[in-house]
Amino acid sequence: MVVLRQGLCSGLDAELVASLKARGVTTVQDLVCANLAQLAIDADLPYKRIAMVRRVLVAQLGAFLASAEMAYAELLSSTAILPTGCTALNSLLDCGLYTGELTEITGAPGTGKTQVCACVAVSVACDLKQRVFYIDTTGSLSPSLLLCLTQAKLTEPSLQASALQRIEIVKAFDAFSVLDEVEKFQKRLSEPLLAREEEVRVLLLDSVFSVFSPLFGSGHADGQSFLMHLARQLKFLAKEYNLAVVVTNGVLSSGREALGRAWSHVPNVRISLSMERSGPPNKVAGQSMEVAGPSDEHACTDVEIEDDIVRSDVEMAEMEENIEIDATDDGSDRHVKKFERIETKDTRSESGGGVNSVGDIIRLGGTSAASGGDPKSLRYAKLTKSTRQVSDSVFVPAFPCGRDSLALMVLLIFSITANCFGDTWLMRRNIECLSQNVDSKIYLNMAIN
Amino acid sequence: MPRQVGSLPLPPHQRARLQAAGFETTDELQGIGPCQLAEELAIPREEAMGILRMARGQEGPVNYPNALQLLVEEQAEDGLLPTFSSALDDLLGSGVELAVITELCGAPGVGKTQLCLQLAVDIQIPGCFGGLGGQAAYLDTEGSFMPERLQQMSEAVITHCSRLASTKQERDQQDALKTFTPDFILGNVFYFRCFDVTQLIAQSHLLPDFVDSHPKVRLVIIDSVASPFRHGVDDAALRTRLLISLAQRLAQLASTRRLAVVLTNQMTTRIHPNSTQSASLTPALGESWGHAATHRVILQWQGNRRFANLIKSPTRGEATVEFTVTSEGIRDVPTTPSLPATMPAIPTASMFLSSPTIPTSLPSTSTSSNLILKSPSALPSLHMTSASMPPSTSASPAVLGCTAGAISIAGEKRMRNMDD
Repeated sequence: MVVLRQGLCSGLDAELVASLKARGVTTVQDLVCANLAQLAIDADLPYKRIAMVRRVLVAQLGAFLASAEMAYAELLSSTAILPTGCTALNSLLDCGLYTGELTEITGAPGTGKTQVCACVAVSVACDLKQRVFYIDTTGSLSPSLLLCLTQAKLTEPSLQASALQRIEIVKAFDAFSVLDEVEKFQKRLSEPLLAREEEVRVLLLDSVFSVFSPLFGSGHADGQSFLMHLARQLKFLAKEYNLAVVVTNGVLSSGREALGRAWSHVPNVRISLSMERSGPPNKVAGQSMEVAGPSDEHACTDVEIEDDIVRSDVEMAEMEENIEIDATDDGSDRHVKKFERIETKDTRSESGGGVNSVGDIIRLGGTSAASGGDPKSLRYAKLTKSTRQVSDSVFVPAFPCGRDSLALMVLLIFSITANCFGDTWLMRRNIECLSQNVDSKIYLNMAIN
Repeated sequence: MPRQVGSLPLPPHQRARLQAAGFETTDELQGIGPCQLAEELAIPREEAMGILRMARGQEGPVNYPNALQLLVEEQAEDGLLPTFSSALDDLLGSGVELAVITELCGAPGVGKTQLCLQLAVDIQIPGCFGGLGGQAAYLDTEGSFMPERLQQMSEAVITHCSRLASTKQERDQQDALKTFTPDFILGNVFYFRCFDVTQLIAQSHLLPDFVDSHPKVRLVIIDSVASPFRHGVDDAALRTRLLISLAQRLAQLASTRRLAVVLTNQMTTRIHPNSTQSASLTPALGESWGHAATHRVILQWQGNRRFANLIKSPTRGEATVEFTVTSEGIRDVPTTPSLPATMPAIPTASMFLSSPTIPTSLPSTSTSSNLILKSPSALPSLHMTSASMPPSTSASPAVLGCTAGAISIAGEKRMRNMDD
């Protein structure tokens, strides 16, 4: 709904706006839907003029047609896959984080969401030498953690410093500040590149739950709408500027992801982290006390994990610390041990073709004991939603070849539903299956706003 | 994509009128003057001006700090907040961390309030001894604050510092000791008694102004955050919302002014219907609250021994350590041969001189490189001397008798300079 005002397009002056307003036509939508002939008679205006204005407005503000082929070509050329810094997580995510997508990491407190975000930030800054924008809402991002992770990857101090300079951190502690910061970030990106040699590749928001959950509830009926505004902004940023957006969410007591059902449709990929604590902290003779970790509900039994791992063909090699520890840092290995990497022998991921299914669980790594006698907690990551990685059954309609009109209809239905998901990858996969039977081009509307 | 009008923090009636008039994005508000907007929306001119100001947003280039600058800033911090138990300090990473929220959970009697009182004293350790030399704000919701105990702990800390000063014979340390008296320490703890949820939330709104007017405050303690919320708020959803907004306010306070915020929580029982054990203790206030604190420590009993278990921290690994509460405050357990090997040994100086969180190599091209190589040289001596003489200070009945006498004397004094 765009309000008609003077100067919106050529030919729309104040007088015309006023006379249209007097007839109840205040927005562009009203003008487009109005009966032009009737309006011209009522308002005593030349029909040609109003028709021309309408044509110009539609051309300026309306959506334009694009073919799926063009969309796919553009996607191929613009999408980048960013490694997360953890090999197992990369394999779960189909080689890494995709730009143009919103990835969500959920989990109970203490399962490692901030750690994963920090790892992604460092991986992009060190390995890819691209910039990172980190919005921290809880204050838990510690620069020393980033330093430790950087030191694990790079040994040269000057390289470490330049890697750290690529990570920009902004702290915003309430929902409106987050919205403001995202808007400012977008304005900055939309300015022409002055002397910027490196592009921002990742936007991390840790966490969206802590700033938006106070807005939900009986007193605030519009809390949901603010969250959806943020969702729109983030998705726009991801698509328009080829960023990977990573968002952290929390869980409720029941184990479900927080922020409701409406938000659950927003991210393209969802990963759920969970932690299994093995054994009580200290067994003193005769008495042992269990302290329940918050994520016991997520604890997967060993048998379950084994099955899933076998199904996804990932074989866990030994867990080893492949981190260089600076000889002068006596205690810094404590930080680093918390995030061990797993060397996985995965032939499929090596060939780049491993597509994981939704529901796969991988083991991320344990925290080693900082002092003797402590339990190793194992962290698991589960892929709970992905618009790219489909499950085993893909809908393939069976119809005889040559029936082009029917095929076109089916394909059109497909295109409409795929458009609802808004995902060109999914469309492509389905089209691949279908195009074995028919040879038609699909035209679909892509609303760009 | 321009900012949607619906995402601005406006009152609902203004938002409704804007949308009824057809304004969708802030771009559409750019070319309009306040009088015209007021006329269109039928609102007073001041409100229209407020809307336009918000729609315009901030102008000018924005520069955000990068990780290197934040790291340098963090390391420019001149001091630490120790707990006086080297095991606990090690658990948390060279003492309680500044600029984040640390949560202490525990069953009754395990030592949460004791630890809070100890921290209220430790924050005041002068800079020449490796401390921060700051003040503390103590928000008490349970009424468990004891000035006499604070006096006792402060006397122990002063004794410790004077021993250090006498061995080192440094001028600034001896000067600092002249003003470092129990009265001075008690006077630097600002005590707020909050009786219910409303008072606690109100005080949390007033804390930023209070900290601005008392810039030496470096520690905020809330003991405990659980009791008013558990008894005062019936609706669970409302409770969660209030808690999370409180947590965000505290996180903002901690981060922007580089304070340490320490919260105390209670424990509750969680039933496991499906697992082998039927019930276990878990921190109270729910799962959503678990996301609020940056570091979470559970203090627990095992027989007669006290253990601290770090269950959530982005920078430290999980660990469990033992500590004890003596007449002097929170201390390490003295090592004796009968204790099991899992007990962490009394630390040696070398472990502290190369502190785990501070790196020792960063480029010289950085302009503030001289700030990077830092180690709290004074602080290890603090622990060293405590380690070297554990038996005489913790177990001797003569000392206990002495401190009991001190308590009776202290009982007659009342806390002076208590601001509210």
